Amino acid sequence: MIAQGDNGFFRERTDTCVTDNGLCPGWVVDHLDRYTTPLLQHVFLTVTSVAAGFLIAGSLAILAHRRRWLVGPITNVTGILYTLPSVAVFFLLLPITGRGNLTAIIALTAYTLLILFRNILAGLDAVPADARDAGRGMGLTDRQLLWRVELPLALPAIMAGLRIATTTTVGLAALAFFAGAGGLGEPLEAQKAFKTNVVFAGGLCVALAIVLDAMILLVQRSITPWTRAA
Amino acid sequence: MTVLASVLDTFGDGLDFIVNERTGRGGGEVGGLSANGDLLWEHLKLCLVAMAIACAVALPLGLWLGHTRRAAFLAISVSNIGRAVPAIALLFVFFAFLGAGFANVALALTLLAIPPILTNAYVGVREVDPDAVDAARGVGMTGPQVLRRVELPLAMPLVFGGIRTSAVNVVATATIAPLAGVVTLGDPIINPSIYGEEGRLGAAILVALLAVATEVVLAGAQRAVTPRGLAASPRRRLMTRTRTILAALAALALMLGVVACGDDDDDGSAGGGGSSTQAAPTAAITKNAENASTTLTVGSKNFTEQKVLGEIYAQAFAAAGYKVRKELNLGDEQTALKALKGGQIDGYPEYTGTALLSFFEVPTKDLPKDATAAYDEAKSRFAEDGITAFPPTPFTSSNEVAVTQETADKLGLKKISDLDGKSQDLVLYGSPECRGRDDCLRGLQNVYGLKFKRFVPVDIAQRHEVLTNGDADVSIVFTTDPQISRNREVLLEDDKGMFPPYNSTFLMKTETADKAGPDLQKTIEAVNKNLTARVMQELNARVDLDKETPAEAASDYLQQFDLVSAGS
Repeated sequence: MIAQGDNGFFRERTDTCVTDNGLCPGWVVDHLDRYTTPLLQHVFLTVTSVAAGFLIAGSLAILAHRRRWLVGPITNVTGILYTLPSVAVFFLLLPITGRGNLTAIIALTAYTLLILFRNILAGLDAVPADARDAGRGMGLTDRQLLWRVELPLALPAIMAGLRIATTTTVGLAALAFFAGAGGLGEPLEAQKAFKTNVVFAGGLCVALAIVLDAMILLVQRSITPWTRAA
Repeated sequence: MTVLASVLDTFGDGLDFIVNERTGRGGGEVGGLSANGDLLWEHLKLCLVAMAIACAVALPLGLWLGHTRRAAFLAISVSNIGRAVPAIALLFVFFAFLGAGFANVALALTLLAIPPILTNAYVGVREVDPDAVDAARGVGMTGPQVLRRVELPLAMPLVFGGIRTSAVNVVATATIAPLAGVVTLGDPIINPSIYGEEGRLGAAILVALLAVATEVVLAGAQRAVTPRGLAASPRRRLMTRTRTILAALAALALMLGVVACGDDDDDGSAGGGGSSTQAAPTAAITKNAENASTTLTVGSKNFTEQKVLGEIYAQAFAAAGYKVRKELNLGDEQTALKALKGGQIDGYPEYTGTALLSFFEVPTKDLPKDATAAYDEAKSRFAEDGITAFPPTPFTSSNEVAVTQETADKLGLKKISDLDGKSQDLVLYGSPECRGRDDCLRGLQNVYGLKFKRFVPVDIAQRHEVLTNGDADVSIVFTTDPQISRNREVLLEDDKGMFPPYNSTFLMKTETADKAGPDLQKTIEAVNKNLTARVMQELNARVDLDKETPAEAASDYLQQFDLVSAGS
């Protein structure tokens, strides 16, 4: 039935690392390009979601810092968002926002809120009363006090929250392919029985988490020099 | 506001799925309290097993390390590392190395649950006021007594907090357990082809409620085990969550409503375009500039052969000058047909036998035995639905009942009917949709009268591994699978004619096909001509064994047989 040109089309297969489903570093080196787009999507989803979460949680924390009665309700609402399984959230959002980045980013952002809100608020609350008094004594307005005294002193706690939120989001973004937003979960799932693939794609997620974590740590060190002097 | 109404409608359907049984897309009964109750029970069982092992391991270790203040670095960093490893990666690593099944998934979830429990137990004990410990020693308590009567009660809130974090996480992750062969509440979410979109939404609602319930129950338990002296401290205010939970859910619903009024159609599904190449005169498929005004979205089902075929058609259409988009992972045949009828895709390859059985529900006794008759019947039935079935491929790829050589020898199996009287001791593995198909579990039950010890639905990509690793005694595979000869599997002869011919025919809405012009059929025929069983098996081998992408295999095929010019 093979009419034409089948010379060389049918391969002789010997047992190799790849056909035997082993761990094959050589295969990874030859197929790195399969992971570049998903990795970039993963970074995009993580950075966008954490950034959006940071803006929202930061605003909420500043609000709750001044109006204490808000702490309970905000903690409860963000707590429930944190509890909902992300796969469920993707599909609960699907009828409303459709498949794609938007759905994934909304869900991932929702997860960061509790972590970030708690840490930013804890940081603001831990600012020594003396520092606040000194600021007021210098004639700072409420707004100036917040930006020049309270937020800088709360930075270590804020950055600690940012690190936890980022690491968590990298992990959850591996599920974003369910929402049609790609990410490293896509190649991970595409060949989930291929050992080399699951180890490498899973490893990339972990490596991304570590790299982003280290980057935030570096930023934190450079913007809070006083924490090292002590 | 019509958008809001339709969204509410969709959610209403989801809720309806939870309480009312209905006929699923594959024909079986799905949904309803009883079926969902079974899924819920499996979900809980998985979580309870994982949590029980995790607590048994991590609690004593964490408490002891905290008491002796040893290995601080290990106890703390284990939770940081744990956070960085995505749950789905952990699940797939276990899946790839150990295979599918309850025990392996439970083990993966256990590993997921350990870090928070361990770290919290450690920190909880270590952070106990040293004065309290000194006082305890002062009154003459021994080390174990100090741990049991002073440190543990004081550390209880934190220790329990760790268990709570783990439990919520495990409940969430058990949702994706069906990807590794355990049918939990996540099954309708992952296999909407069986349960329908309303099943997916209903299950998503159930899973969300289950996670919230877990959180609420454990928060209550945590309050109950917290010593009275600590309970009054302001830090414990978080635990009065139950009271405000309804208010918060209402707020959420309101938010959903607001978002719903926002934007409605944001379909971010990206389709990669095929490369447009200038075809050399020798190629069978040549570029026609007139076709550029026609966009064709090519679909496929979710297994290797389908993805390869989808890629081949997509690349061939692109070479003929059409604008091409791809949706090459649609799920099972019902999903693909729905996508075709709904206009989400313009065409996809389907097997004549699958069409006759699954779409047109032809009884086994009326199935055509020969390939041409099967195609003709499928073609005329599709025509009634306004769908054109293009001339089929030479190869046929049937479902097959496969066992290992050892099993065949041991039980003396040659034909499917040889399983009679033995099947009750055998475990059958098949894809999730196998449950409801006449050329799969349902046919084996109805046509052959077989009852298996267990049917385990597993991802279709695992159909050979489950035989090799011994999980399955019997597995449903495809004729064109290269693993059959490689793994020395034995295909049991279909002696009662359960399987019709399964040649692949490209389906398209007739309306779309007419608009696409004469190049369409020419391209499909050129592509099909060389798709023999041997070629199809080679293409499958390139993806399944050599781990090439379907796109690479497809491109090689088109060039090898001079369908497109080289270098595209």
